[in-house]
Amino acid sequence: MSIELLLAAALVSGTPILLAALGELLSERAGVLNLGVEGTMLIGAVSGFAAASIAASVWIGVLGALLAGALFGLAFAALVVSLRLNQIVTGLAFTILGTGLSAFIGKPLIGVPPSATVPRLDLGPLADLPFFGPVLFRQDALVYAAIGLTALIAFYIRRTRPGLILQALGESPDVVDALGLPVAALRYLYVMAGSALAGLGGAYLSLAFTPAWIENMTAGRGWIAIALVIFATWRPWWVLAGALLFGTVDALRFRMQVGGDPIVDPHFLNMLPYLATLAVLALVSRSVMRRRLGVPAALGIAYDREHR
Amino acid sequence: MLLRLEPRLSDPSAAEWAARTALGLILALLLAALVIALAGYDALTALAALWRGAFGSLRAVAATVNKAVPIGLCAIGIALAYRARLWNIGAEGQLYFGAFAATGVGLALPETAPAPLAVSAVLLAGTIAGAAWAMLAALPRAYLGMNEILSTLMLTYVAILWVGYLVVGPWADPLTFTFPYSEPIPAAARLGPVAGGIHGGVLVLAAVALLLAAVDRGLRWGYELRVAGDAPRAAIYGGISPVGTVLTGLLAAGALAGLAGAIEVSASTGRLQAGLSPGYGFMAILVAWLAAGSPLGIVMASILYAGLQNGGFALQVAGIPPAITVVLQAVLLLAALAVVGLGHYRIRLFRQIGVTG
Repeated sequence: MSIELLLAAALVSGTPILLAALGELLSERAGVLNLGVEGTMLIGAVSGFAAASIAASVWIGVLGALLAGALFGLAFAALVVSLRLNQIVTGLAFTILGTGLSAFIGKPLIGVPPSATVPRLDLGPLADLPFFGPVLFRQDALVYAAIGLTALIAFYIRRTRPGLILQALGESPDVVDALGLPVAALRYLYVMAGSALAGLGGAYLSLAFTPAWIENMTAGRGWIAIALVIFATWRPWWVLAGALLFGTVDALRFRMQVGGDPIVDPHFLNMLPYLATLAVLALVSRSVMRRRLGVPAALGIAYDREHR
Repeated sequence: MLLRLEPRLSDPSAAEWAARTALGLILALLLAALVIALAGYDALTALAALWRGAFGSLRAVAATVNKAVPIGLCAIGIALAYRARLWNIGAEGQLYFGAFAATGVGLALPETAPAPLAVSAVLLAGTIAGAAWAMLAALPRAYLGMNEILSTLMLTYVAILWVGYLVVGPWADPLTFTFPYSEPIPAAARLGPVAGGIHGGVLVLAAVALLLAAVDRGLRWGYELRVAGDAPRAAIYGGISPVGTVLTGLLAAGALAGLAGAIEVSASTGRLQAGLSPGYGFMAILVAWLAAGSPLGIVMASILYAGLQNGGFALQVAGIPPAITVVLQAVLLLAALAVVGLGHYRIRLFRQIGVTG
C-alpha cells in the first residue's frame, strides 16, 4: 500500500476521534470529566443519520447530530453540575444510556442506504499535486471542518478572554465565581458544546466514514477520544497530532485485515493508543510537569460555593 | 423562589438510606414503565416479562445469581479501594487478565490433577494476575501520583486486546476456529454447582462480602484505608503510609476482579473467550456506588443488576426490542443514583431576597 493512501486514510480515521476529543477537551478544561463520550457519539451517529435520511440533506444530518449531542450533554450536565452526582459513575451510566438509546432509535435505520454523504470539496489544481494532493486535498468537507475547529479552539483558549475564563473554570472555579461569573452556567455551556462535538464525531462515522447506521458502530472510539485528550495534555494542536497518530493505527489495522500477511498482529496495533496514553499519563504525573503542562486541577470536582 | 442544594452536616442514617434506595427503585420502575409505554409497548406485560426472566423460575434465579457473582466480586474490590478514595475503573481489565492467567494454569494442568487442587490453582492464578494487573496502575499511583482513574481505564483495553489476541492466535482452539475461543480447561479445574444451577462462585462472593465487613469493623487495615481516604493529612501524622494504603487498596481490588475472571472461566465458560465479560467490571462500579459501598448492599445490588440483565433477554422473547432493556438499565440507574446521591444534600427553597439596582 502506498504511503499517500495510508496517510489519507489516517486523516479520515482520525477525524471522528479528533472531533470527539476536541469536545472532551472543552468539557475537561471546564472541569467536567465526561466518561459518556462513547454513548454521546452513538447518539450523534444515529440522530445524524436519521435527520439526514428524513431531510435528504447531509447538512441537516450534521445539524441534527450537533443538536442531539448537545441535548445529551444537557442531561449529563444537569446531573453532574446541578445535582452534583459523581461524574465518573454518571458518565458510565450515560455511555450505557447512549448505547441502548441509539440502538433503540436506530432499529428502523439498519440497512437503510444513506440518502446523502458528506461531499468532497473540489479544491481544483491542489488535488492534482503529487503526494499532497491525495493526502490533503481530496478529503471531505468535515475533515477540513475538524482541522479548522482545532485551530479555532486553540485560538479561543489561548488568546481570548472567554478562553482564559475557561482555563480558570477547570483550574480554580472559585476564582471564576469571585469574578462574578456563573460557574454552573459556564460548565453547562462547555459540557453541551463538548457533547455536540462528540455527537458530530459520531455522525462522521454514519454519514461519511461508513456511511450507514450500524449498532454500536463507534466500537470504542469514544474511549480512544478520552485517552487522546490526556495524550495531548489538554492542548488542541496536540489533539490533532494524536488523532493523526491514532488514525494511522486505525488505518493500518484496517489495511492489514484486508491485505492479510500482517507484520504485527492487529491486536497489538490497537493497544498502541492506550499504551501511548499511559506513557504520557506517567509523564504528566510529576507535579512540576503537571503545572507546566496544565492538567486542569479541578477536573472531576463538582463546584460548591460553600466548600471552597 | 430559588432552589438550593445544601450539603448535610451528617450522613443519612441507615434507615433513611434504605428508604431512599427504595424510593429510587420505585421511581426508576415508574420511569421504566413510562419509557416502555412511550415506545409503544404494554408496560405491564414488559415488566412481567422482565420479572419472569430475572427471578421467575429456579433456572432464572440460578442464572441471575451466577451473573451476580463476577459483578459483586468486582464491586467489593472497587468499594474497598474507594475506602481510601481510590477509583478502580479498571476492574474489567483485571477480570480479563485474571481469566487469562486462570486459563493458562488450567491448560497447563495434567488431566489427572485432583479437582480441589486444580480448582484452587486456577482461582489463585486469576487472583494473583488480577492483582498484578492492578499493580501496573498502583505503583505509578503510589510513587508518581499517576491518576489511577485514567490509568486503570487504559489498562483495561490493553488487557481485553491481549485476551483477544490469545483466543484467535496462540491459544485458539482448532476445533472452534470460527469462534474466538481457547481450548477448554480440564474438567478437574471446573468449579462445580452447589445448589440447583448455582455455581460455587456464590460461596466465594458470600465469603468475600463477609471479609469486607470484617475489614471495615475489625481490621486495622480497614481503618487505615478509611483514614487515608477521608483525612490524608491525619493519616500521615498518624504514621499510616500513603504508599502502603494505595498499593494494598488497589491490589486488593485487582485481586478480587481477577478472582472474578477466574471464576467465570472455571465455573461458567470453561475456557477463555473474547467477550468473556459483557462489562461486569463497569457494571460493578455502578453497583458499588448504588450500594454506597456496604457489603450487604453490594450483594443485593449485584443480584438486582444481574436480574435486570437477564430479564432483558426475556423481554426479547416477549417481542420487545432488546435495546430497550439497555435504555431501561440506564434509566433505572440514573434514577436510583439521583435519589441516593441527593441523600448527601438537602434541598432548600429560598425566597429571592430582593437586591435591586
